[in-house]
Amino acid sequence: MTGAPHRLASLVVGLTCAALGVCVAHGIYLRRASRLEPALSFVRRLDHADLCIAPDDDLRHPGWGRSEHGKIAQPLLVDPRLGAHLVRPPAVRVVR
Amino acid sequence: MRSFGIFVLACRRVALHPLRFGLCGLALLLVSAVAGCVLLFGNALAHTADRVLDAGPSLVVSRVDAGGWAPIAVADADKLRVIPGIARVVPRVWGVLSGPPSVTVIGDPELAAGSNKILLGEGVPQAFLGVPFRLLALDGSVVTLEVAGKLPRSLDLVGYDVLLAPEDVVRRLLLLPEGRATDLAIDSVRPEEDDVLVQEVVTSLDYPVRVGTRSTMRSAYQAQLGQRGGLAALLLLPSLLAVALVVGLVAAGGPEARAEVGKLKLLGFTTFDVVRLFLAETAVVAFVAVGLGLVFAWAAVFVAGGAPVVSLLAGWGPAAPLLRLDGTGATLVLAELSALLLGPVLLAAAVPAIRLGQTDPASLLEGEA
Repeated sequence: MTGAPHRLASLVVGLTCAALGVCVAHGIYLRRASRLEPALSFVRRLDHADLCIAPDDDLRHPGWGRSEHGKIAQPLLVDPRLGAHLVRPPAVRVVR
Repeated sequence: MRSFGIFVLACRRVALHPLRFGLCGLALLLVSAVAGCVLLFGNALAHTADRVLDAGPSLVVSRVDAGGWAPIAVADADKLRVIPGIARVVPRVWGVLSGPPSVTVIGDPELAAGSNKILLGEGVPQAFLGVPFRLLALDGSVVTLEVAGKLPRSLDLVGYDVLLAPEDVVRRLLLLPEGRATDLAIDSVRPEEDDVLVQEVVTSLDYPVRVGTRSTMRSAYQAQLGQRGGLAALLLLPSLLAVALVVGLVAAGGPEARAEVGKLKLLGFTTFDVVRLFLAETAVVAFVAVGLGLVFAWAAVFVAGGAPVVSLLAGWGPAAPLLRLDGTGATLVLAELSALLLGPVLLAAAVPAIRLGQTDPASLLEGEA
């Protein structure tokens, strides 16, 4: 009975060390494997380097971001869907 | 006393107070998991953004007028191609259609002109293979397209909300006439000349343009990430201090611990042994809690595709993209975070232990009597 707590603790500490070791090994794998290569090829092919995560990734339309996910856009910049003329796509000259 | 003996005794003391140490460990686990998610995600996103920007164009030239952005003449690309230092100029045909569904429409030169077949990112709503996909063009007309395929999830990072279509379809959707492009993407020969090329580009075109460079894009990302990181640090610091305080109170143990230390000293424990014992019991709990928290953070960012963190930090909701992020520097972040979390916690445990260890055993046992 007296040995049980420390054996359990040793097991838990050992498992935690093993899990951290797996993380480090996975980190080394991530550095070696070209996980990003498909995305980089896509960027090279289309000459588009916009991350879907960033709201101001598109310098042509600052603050536009990914419009359907407007809530991640910067709050101080005007959302184009609200009628701001600056961020309409270039060919819009429609007068109704 | 031998270190192993101290460890055994510390484990026994932890097992005797499961609630106290369990809650303490839970607090540490939560703080380390949240801090780990935020810092690992920020670090990974910064490195990923760098690599994506390096793969993209060096400069992007957009025509501007008093009303905002205007289409640029494709023929003007030739004026830029003759500038020394410019390797390639590509007119891009693309734009954003507001919804529903809202999509970023990109003209793909590899898709056959005259076809209505498109490729969609996973995040474009209401799109199913084989089912006609209707989009409103900017003039209000309905364009019916056929979904030929979906972009693989490995492209979520850059293609999650993207619609790839033949250029003529994109022109129809965006009312972009033939001979006009959205902007011009430029690849320079040497990245260090980009800033000089900006001036060359501006003087080569006889209308106002805005030229974005990789470095401005990088600055934009860094500013945004710095903002997020700063907010996270603001939250992390008080949480860490609070946890250290809790650990200090737990380690102090109250009158019961005073009596225990008194008895241990009567049994021959030195001050050093007492400090080691208190540190060992805190270290066992803290190491496991911080370790598990960081493992959870790692799994959330790098194994689960970052989706839980993206949902949490960027507000994407359940339909977050699966991001394959660059792991450069992540191990270092783990090490830094471990030191940042364990350092104050062990210090908080050591201070009361040193105080108790230096106290006279008789006064420690006064309450007992």
